[in-house]
This record gives sequence, C-alpha cells and structure tokens, in this order.
Amino acid sequence: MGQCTPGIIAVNVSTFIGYYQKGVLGALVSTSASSSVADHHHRDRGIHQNFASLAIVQHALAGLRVGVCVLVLTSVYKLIKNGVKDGFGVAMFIFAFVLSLFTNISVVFITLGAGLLGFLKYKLGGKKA
Amino acid sequence: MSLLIQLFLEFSRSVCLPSAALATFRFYTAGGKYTWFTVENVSRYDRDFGIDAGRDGRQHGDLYRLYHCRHSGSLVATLGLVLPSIAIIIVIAHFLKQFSDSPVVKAIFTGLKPAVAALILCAALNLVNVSVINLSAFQASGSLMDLFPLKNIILFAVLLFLTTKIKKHPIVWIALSAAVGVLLQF
Repeated sequence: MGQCTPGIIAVNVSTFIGYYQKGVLGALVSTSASSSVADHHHRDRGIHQNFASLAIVQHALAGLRVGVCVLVLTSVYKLIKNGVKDGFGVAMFIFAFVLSLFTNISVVFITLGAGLLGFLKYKLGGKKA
Repeated sequence: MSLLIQLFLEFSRSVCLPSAALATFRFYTAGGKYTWFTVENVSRYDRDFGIDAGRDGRQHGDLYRLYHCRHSGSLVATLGLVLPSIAIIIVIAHFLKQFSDSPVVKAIFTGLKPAVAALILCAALNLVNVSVINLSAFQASGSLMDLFPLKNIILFAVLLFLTTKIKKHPIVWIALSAAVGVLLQF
C-alpha cells in the first residue's frame, strides 16, 4: 500500500502504521518522526560529506550494503511465504516480476492490475478469497 | 513569504503525480517559472544529495534550507510534500480498516500480496546488482571474476546462512557486515 499510494514510500508506510496503532494522532506522529530524520540528516550533510570520504567509512558502507541485500532478500522470502499460497498467487508473482523487470510499466499500474485480477478471480468463480 | 507559499503549493501538487520522475519533469518543463528548480540547481542537488537512499521528491524538498530559504524553506517544502500523503492515506487506511473483513478486499489482496512481493524482489535484485555482483565490470571485461567479487559473495553467503540459522535483530547483521567490510577492506 505504501508503494502504490502517492508520496514517499517510507513516509507512507509510517503513516499507515501510525494510523492503525493510534488513529489520526498516531499517523501524524509517525509521519513527523520519519520526515524529521531525513531533515536532520540533510542538516548534517556537511559533516556527513567529509565523513563519507574517509576510506574506513567507504569499506564499512560496502560491507553494509551486502548485509542490507541479505536482509531485504530474507524479508522478500517471508513475504513470498505469506502471500503466495496457490497457483493464482504464483501467477500474480510471475506477472508482476516479469513486468517490473523487463518493462517500464509503472509499479502503480502493476499493483492496480494485480488487485484487479484478484477481484476478477473472486467475481468470476473462485468463491474463497 | 510568497516563495514559501509557492514551495508549499508546488510540492503538495507534485505528490499527486504517480512518480518522483514525473514531478521532477513537471518542474523542469515549467519554462523557468521556478527559479529554485533549474537544470543547474538540480545537478547541484543531485551531486550533493545523490548518495542518499531513495532519491525522490523529498530530497529536493529538503534542500531549500541549504540553498535558498534556509530552515523555513526546508520545513515548508517538506510539509508540502508530506501533508497530502497523510490526508490521502488516512482516508485509505480508514476504509481498509472498515472493510478488512470484506471478501472483496481479501480477494484484491490475494492478487496484491504476491505482486508486491515480486516488486520488492525486483528492487532487491537491483540492489544485489550494485552491492554484491558487478554486472557493469563483467560487461566491460567479460571475466567471471569481475561479475562475482569473491569477498562480496563470501560475505553474502555467510550472512544468508547465519540469518536463516540464528534469529537476531537486523541491526546486529548490519553492524557485523560493516565490521567485516572494514576488516577485509571491501
């Protein structure tokens, strides 16, 4: 949902989580928190630029990027385990994967299409959703 | 003051476009209407902000503190970018909460969940392409050693094994990979 609603993905996700936990106030607080981190980050930019040019930081960041890849892939594995449960799920997964990797179609249309196909499947026969 | 209002309104409107690229394009093609969004400025912003994760509208929103309006500009541009999203998402979240037990919503999610997993996998593969393997070096040299830098592959495999076997907070793995990066001179 964070990806297909307008705005910045991280901020959108924080708004959703805040809203589900504590209503409108929760949404406002979590959004302020996620935005202010970026704002502070930019304020420290001058220091950050000097810091980032150090060789030791470059090495740490290169190692860290590999770690981030592993964490993201394990999260994707969990998402697949929870979300892809039948033949239709596999088809939707391949549909979105191929379109995203090999075409320039916006993710908005891919997610909308996948949602629509889920709805059509429900309407055209499969009673259990 | 008028510049602050303009920043707020323009960044609010840019959120409603489906991608940051389109928002940027709109600023570009405004025929010099925005003195704070010229090709030269954006190149400078991209240079200064280019390594930030998730290059999108907010980077461009935030940087007015640095280059133009200082603190008030940064705050107003960021607010302009964030507020419309909050309003839209609160409405969507409200309806989702109300209809979460509806079979139609559940049916829509049977299509959405696998698609979102696939989209995140694509993003992850792009990350792997930059951080673990080196496709551009391989295309230039044709050597498999360039495609699979040994240190990266070993760290990747070891971390993958460890994360499946040992349950630790992600920050532990992040810190460990950064430490290995420093020790082995990645």
